[in-house]
Amino acid sequence: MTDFGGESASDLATFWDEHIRSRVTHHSELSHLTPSAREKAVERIDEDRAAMRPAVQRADRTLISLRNSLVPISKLPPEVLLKIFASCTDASPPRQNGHGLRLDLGWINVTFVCRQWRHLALACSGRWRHIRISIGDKWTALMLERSKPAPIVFAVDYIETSRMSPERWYRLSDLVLQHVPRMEELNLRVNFHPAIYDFARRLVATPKPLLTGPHAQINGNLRPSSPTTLAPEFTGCETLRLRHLVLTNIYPPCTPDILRNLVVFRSTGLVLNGRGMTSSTPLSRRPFLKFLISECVYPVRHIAITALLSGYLAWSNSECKTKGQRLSVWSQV
Amino acid sequence: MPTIVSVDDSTVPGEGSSRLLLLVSSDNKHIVVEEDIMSRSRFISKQVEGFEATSQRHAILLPFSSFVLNKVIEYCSHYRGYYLLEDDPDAAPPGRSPVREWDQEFLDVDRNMLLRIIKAAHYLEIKSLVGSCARAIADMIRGKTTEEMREILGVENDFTPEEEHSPSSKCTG
Repeated sequence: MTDFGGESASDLATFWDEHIRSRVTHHSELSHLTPSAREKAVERIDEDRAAMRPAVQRADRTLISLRNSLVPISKLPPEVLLKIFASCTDASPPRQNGHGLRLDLGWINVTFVCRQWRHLALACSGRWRHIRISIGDKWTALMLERSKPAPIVFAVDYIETSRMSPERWYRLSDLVLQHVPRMEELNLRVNFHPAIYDFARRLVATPKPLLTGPHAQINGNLRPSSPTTLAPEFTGCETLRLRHLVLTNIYPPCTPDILRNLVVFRSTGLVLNGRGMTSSTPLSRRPFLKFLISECVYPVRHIAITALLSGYLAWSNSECKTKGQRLSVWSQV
Repeated sequence: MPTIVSVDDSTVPGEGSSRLLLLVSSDNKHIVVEEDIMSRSRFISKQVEGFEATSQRHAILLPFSSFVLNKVIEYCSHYRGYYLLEDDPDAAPPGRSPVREWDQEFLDVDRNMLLRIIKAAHYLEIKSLVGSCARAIADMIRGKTTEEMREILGVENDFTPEEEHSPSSKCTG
């Protein structure tokens, strides 16, 4: 039996008997009615038509669903349809066009095609896990909910947030913070503003046991006397999963705990002006570090990084280059 | 599961280094293909492992037409000997299917043919081809309105008016 959206062909037969046939058959003897009885009969027919209309529409939708289930695209296995959705996600992520004036739902539009596609997309939490706040508060909340229990990749971009009011930031941070323990990646690129900074600090300070890659960049209005630092909560046991650390205009936390399992470490931003510089010595002997770009560590001669594929260190008059797995630095400071 | 029939060794030559397989399509066409070409298919590989365990040669009956099967064989022949990450059972699945120019030309076919190929690729467990087909289908509907997508896919709107305009609706029937 074909079942679709809770209804089936046998349901339709029952539906016809119960809701349609009885209403139609009792109007069969209408030929010998008096004029007043005719008026009443017309009223009854109109009432019956009105009563039947929602039921007929429901039956029509069920038949359309059955029809949809027979077309070639619906004959694909669910996992293949999900693969198509995944390709749509890659090709058309949701975004705002024209500086936030118009929302383009991108791949989410597949959930408006038909019931089968919506059922399938809603049942797959992984499809909803890439979340940018540019899609607006309503869709951010929906995607956070639909992505449960999958780990989430969360992005905040300064282009999208330049017009956001502090109130909206506080509202959004309250919403997002509930889901931070599921955060696998965090891409934070914001302009400095007290409300935004508060949001970023709370975000960073909440435990994120799944986090493998924070990308954080805070632009503008950083006072040289108190440049941004990563919250201390980044250190400790939860950094064991940390694989990617990309920081701009933020002090690099070069502690062995932070660096332990890093594969990518990028720390740039000349605004630091030498404050918070740390020795590059902790970078050596990192077993997994493959990509290293830093303008924020004091170079030390000949750092041995066994897995290094590409390295670049810059500070004042120093220069460096990689030779195989050995990063050689000549400092003229 | 496919039906597997025993075949005469004379029907399937291929003793020695370049062994041959006999594939039988749903329209009963017999297609002989080198085992090496079809090794990209996890399904075929598993069948061949089964043959080796029983020391018997078989034809493999497949539930799709010779036209579709020939397209799949063309794909496998093109990538014969190539390493494609998606087809490596030991590799972590890539986040997104890579764009391959040849695939784009190869899959420049009508919608129904594309759907048949992706179904066959899924059956034969050729992940790289499934990925390329999925990308091609995604490209067909990319940037289209919901109505245009329905027209391309041949489906009709079966939402209630409330469901259609409510993104959070779960279509309860």
